[in-house]
Amino acid sequence: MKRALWSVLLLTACGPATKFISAVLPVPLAPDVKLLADANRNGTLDWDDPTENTDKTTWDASHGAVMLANIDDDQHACVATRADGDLLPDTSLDDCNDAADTVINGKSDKLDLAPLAVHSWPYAPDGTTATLKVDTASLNKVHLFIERNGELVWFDTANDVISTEELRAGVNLAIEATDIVRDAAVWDGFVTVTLSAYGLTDAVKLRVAPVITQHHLAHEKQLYVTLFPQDADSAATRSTLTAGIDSAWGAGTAATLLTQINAYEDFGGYTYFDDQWTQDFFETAYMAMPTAQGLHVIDVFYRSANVYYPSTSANPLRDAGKVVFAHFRGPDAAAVQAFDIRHDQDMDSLNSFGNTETIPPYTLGNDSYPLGRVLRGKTATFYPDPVFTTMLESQGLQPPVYIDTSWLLVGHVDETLSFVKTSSPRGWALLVNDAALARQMLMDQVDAGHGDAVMFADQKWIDDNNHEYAAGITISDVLADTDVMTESNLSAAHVDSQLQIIKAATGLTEAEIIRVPYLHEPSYGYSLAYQPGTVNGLSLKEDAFAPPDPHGPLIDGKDLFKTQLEDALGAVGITVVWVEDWNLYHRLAGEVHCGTNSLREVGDARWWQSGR
Amino acid sequence: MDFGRLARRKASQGDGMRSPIFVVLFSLAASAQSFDRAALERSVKQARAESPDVFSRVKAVVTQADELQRRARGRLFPFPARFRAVTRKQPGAAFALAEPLFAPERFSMPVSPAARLGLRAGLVEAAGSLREPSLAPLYRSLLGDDEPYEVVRAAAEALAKLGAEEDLAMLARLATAEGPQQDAAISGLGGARTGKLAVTALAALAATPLEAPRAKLVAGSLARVAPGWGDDVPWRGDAAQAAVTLFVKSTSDEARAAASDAVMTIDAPQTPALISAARANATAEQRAALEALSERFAHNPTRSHR
Repeated sequence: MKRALWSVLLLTACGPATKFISAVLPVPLAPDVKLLADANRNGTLDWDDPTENTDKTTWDASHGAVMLANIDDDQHACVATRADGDLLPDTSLDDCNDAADTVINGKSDKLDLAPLAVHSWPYAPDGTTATLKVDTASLNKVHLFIERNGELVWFDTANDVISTEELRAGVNLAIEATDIVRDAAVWDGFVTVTLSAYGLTDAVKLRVAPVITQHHLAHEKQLYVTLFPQDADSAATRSTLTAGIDSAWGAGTAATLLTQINAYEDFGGYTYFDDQWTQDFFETAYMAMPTAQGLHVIDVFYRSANVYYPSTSANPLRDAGKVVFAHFRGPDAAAVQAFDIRHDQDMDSLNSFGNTETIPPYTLGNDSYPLGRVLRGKTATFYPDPVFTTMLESQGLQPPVYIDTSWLLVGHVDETLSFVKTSSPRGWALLVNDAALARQMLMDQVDAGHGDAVMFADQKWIDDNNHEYAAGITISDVLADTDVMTESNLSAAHVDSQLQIIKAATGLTEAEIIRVPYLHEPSYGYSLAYQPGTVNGLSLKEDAFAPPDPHGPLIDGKDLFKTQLEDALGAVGITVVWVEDWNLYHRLAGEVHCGTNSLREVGDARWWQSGR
Repeated sequence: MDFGRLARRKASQGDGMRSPIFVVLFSLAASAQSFDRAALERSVKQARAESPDVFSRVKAVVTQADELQRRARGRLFPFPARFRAVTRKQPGAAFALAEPLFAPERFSMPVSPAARLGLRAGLVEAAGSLREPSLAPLYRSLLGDDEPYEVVRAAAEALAKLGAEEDLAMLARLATAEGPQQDAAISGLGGARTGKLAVTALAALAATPLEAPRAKLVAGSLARVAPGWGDDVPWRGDAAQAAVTLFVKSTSDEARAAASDAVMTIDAPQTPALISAARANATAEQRAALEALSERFAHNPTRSHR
């Protein structure tokens, strides 16, 4: 054996002739230039497992390693405020995260890295070194780390080498992406890492975890609502919402499950969170990577691309969106923003996340969408921020379905559509607004002699300055209102057009659609919910739905619209918990879903198995 | 022309004086001088004496306009809907709504451009719903080039709802000629309840190549001028014919969908025959689309599912 080793060293001194060497030398002495990643996705590096150590540069549904964009803040090291207490400008808020530097930010941060390893080559000739390179497109998108003296330290691919001793002992490496995929045309998230030594190379291919938006069927980990202290209207909504959460999950649950974002939190004299549309200024999502301990998840909080101040380059975005950096970014929680300050202001409302929902998982023919599909309002001429849209589409996992919401005053998909869990084979049903049904229900009541029954009884239109006016109106008067009826007539057709697109995309049948009746009214040539839009609710647990109290007419002591929805949802096993939102939300063109948000559990589907 | 920009102008919520909209919002006083202010003042005075409450209701909304706009979801606070709600069945409501338009100095008017825009358009639109003939001169004065889209649209709609022949003829001219008020006039025509002239103008537009945003405006107005849920108007068939024509002529998905929605909303009994006739000169692609339209009409979603 020693003789053989000396032969290698002599040959090495004359320069590498690796193919020749590997052909003539016994296996232990052959150059061993091997790089491994967790291609079989079991969280460990298995040198002897053919599912791990073959086809290392292919990446498909069954094979290929995964890494995370390590953009959380495991040590709460990122500071969102300035010395004067004000929050950092939008242009600086997203500068900080764990991948912004080249050090491992604590034990938790280490868990966010994907493992790589260089196999030990005990007989590596003296002076042999190795390099690690990443493909050109990924050059500034990843950091490599090498274990030295028991610590992971940054490996500068431009200058560093793996030493002979390290090669002989074998090397533990780790990799992080420094960002999510923003534009697949620029960087598609696939990274090839190449090990070179002794004239040999070996390579592995990894993919950065896409950011996956969450759908309504998953259990909620955290719910959110904006808190307006000392505001009776806010209290009314929050108390009924809290009761609903406790009803669904058990008494006292809301105390921990519901995060109340203080609208008046003071940042050096500024109250950025004074915005009750909690659904709109952030969207929850996640990235996931397999580990030996199971799935490792980083929650992602997208900040909305609403440009409220287009002439203010440092702080152009909707104020409340800063909350994703100020409060949500942290250990295993990342915050992301992307926007084009030049995007048409007339379309800005489409950037609110009431206009970004997720169709739950389904299969249609040969096409499977185990993570669902993004649902947004967007047409060729009326569309959300293209930069953000490109980022969403570039994740590649949840191909978007686009519907026309341009006829709505607010313009969000959550004004007319929602989803609830059912026990059907599909596992979910679509809730869809149906103005024709609302009209028919009211006409039936007129026929039954209840035309004088009052809708919106005890509700008011104005609550400031002691000016309050009864909102009550009889069924007959509603039906006689040509503005309401004409707008509702047209909205029935528009909603159906939305529905046709979703049906075509999902294969949804009529039996899987739950009609939710409410009328529309016009403003500025657009449409908005005349009655509280009861489709606009929050899914709780798997069997509860929290829509706004419709304040419908009482017929024989029962609210006509409550009864209808309770019956319709009860038929699929869903309990309705009513939330009071008239004053703070309905009167301002939104409802319960618009005023809440939810971070949900990651389901059983694994994105890397999706085939996308 | 960027129709979408006009149709959906949404002033930024906090940009204050920086928005160009701010400039045009001060134009009201000048444009309002072109009508008989004294006559309107007399009407307002009389209405206030008879029904002071509705004036305080309108004033309350005006006073809160900045806050309402600041807290509203989306493009603009729905001032039209709110004004309609608080003035419903209130005597003198039309004059109460008109007063802030021609005498803004009596009110604590909003500061933010978006609130000012929404407030003015909302006042006009809500007043228009009340069909007060004596306000027609005020509405006509708001059709000027210097008015923002939302205000012109509301004024056009108000005039269309009043339905004077000469006003409808003027709106038809504005709607069918390229110009700054064209889209507002198209949208406003949808308010016409004496719709023959309106349908004629909209039908002429429907027969021409239109870009998607304008095609959608035409479709929406055709639907509003003869809604199936409304009275059985004699121009329903013509409206349906125009909607079918628009459907066939449309080349974009969104325009065609809007035309289809108009056909459904109008829900004319002649529709199957109109679709059938349209097939005669249609291309293969158009015939396939017409087949789908026919199928959709057979299960018209605007009819109740129960």
